Amino acid sequence: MENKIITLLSEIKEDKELDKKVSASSDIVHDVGLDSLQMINFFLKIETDFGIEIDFENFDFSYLSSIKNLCKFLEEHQVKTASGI
Amino acid sequence: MSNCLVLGDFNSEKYWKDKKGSKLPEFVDKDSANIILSMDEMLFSFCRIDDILLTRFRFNESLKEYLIKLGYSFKSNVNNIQLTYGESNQNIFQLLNNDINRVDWVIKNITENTSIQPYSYLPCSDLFVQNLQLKSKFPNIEVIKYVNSKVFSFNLSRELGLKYSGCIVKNHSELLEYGKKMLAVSNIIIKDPFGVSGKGSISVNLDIILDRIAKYLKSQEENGYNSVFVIEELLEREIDFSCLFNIDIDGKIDIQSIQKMLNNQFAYYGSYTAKKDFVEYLEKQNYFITVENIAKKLYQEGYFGPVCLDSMILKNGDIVPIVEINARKSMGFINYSIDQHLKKFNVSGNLVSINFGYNETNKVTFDKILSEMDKQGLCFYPGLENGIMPISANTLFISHDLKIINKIESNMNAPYKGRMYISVVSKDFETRNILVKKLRELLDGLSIKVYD
Repeated sequence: MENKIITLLSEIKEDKELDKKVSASSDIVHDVGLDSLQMINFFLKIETDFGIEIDFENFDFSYLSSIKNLCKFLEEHQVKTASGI
Repeated sequence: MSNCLVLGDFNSEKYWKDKKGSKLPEFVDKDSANIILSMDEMLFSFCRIDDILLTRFRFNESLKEYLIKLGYSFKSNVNNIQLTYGESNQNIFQLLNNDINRVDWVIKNITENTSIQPYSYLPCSDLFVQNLQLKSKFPNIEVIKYVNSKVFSFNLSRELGLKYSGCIVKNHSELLEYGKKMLAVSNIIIKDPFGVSGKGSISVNLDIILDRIAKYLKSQEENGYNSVFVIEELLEREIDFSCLFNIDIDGKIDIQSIQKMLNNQFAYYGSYTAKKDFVEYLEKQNYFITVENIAKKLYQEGYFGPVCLDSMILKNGDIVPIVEINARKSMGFINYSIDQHLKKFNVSGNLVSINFGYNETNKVTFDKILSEMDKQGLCFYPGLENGIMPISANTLFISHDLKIINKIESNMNAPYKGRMYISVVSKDFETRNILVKKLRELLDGLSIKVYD
């Protein structure tokens, strides 16, 4: 999942070399440097690719402190979606 | 000689947007919002001797001392005008109308000839002028909102025969219907009527993303919000630029400058004054005739004042004169104004912004950064050909200083975001890039993490 996230980020940032610059511990806002518009496009792609729906207004920004943390959030979200919670 | 009262808010669109208007999906980034609140310090660039600059947060003393060495001279408030975090939602005119005593010294420094020079006209600007018994005249606020809407830009483009494919949609169903038709041909961009650089517009390349946005809007419409959006074909941009002009109260048009923009996708990164050959190229393409027609139309609608017309040249060479009309001042105007000042020293600058992060434990002050820049010979001073002119101080550490509550609750270790605006004085882009690199290294040495 981490690789998938990095691939999506590379597409959003239009940077094919991004995988060499970031790791699972990279902060998505600050290390990858997504601005607010890129962030929306990133999450819309996540929703599409992972089959989930994110509550934009109440999303906890601390999940963006690392790619690993975001993966954790997405895994939990997928489980909730699958079990209809 | 009459003096000017200079003040404003850089998030004008927030105050112009219909409160019952639906929004595209967005994350609320409080750090960025705070930075925008404190950008008004850059309005010093419009001040002449004896002018009065009012900033939401008091003007940094070290920055002021530095600017005085460069020949700037203005009065500024020594106390904050915004006193609580909750007041972030009020524009500066509203704050002052509520309690003019926060700047009671202003009243002593204005005369019957004092005029007002706002960044933009906002709700309550007129009341502020009345309260201070100034003679300045503003266009009607409804006119301001009307001409600043992307819907007006879109319709005017169509009227002048300048438009690529696009349409206005008034609910989520129309968004889906027209959006999908357009998506079958090319990628599209959806624009909020009052979106700004980096916010309020979304590029879409897949039906499924359009579906999700429509669903998001539908839920707002069900709660009584009204949708109005502009959908346009996503064009392949080569060069972004803007034309700065002023329309006076009698309708006289004064074209002041062409500014080229440095953008990161749709977000603003910096500005520089276009070279003579670029302006001549635009002239040959009859671009300025179109600008005059746009200005005349704005005046017919009842607008007068500053205008920053965003335009672009596409990869195929076509000029798109209206990307959006900003009937207000802009970052381009600030760069132009600084360049006008730097002319005295036979140099010019590039306005650049640098984004960075810092933690509670490694926060430094602007004074420290300025002092380090001086030690390393990075600062621009009259007589030098190259150097960096810091033009903002509060934007660096405002998020820490305002203590964003939700960040501290959710993640103690999450860094704060800051932004430094500079004018890089240099003869060429290569020297500019070297200077910016040196500043980034300096910040890095102070444990400030600079973002790309």
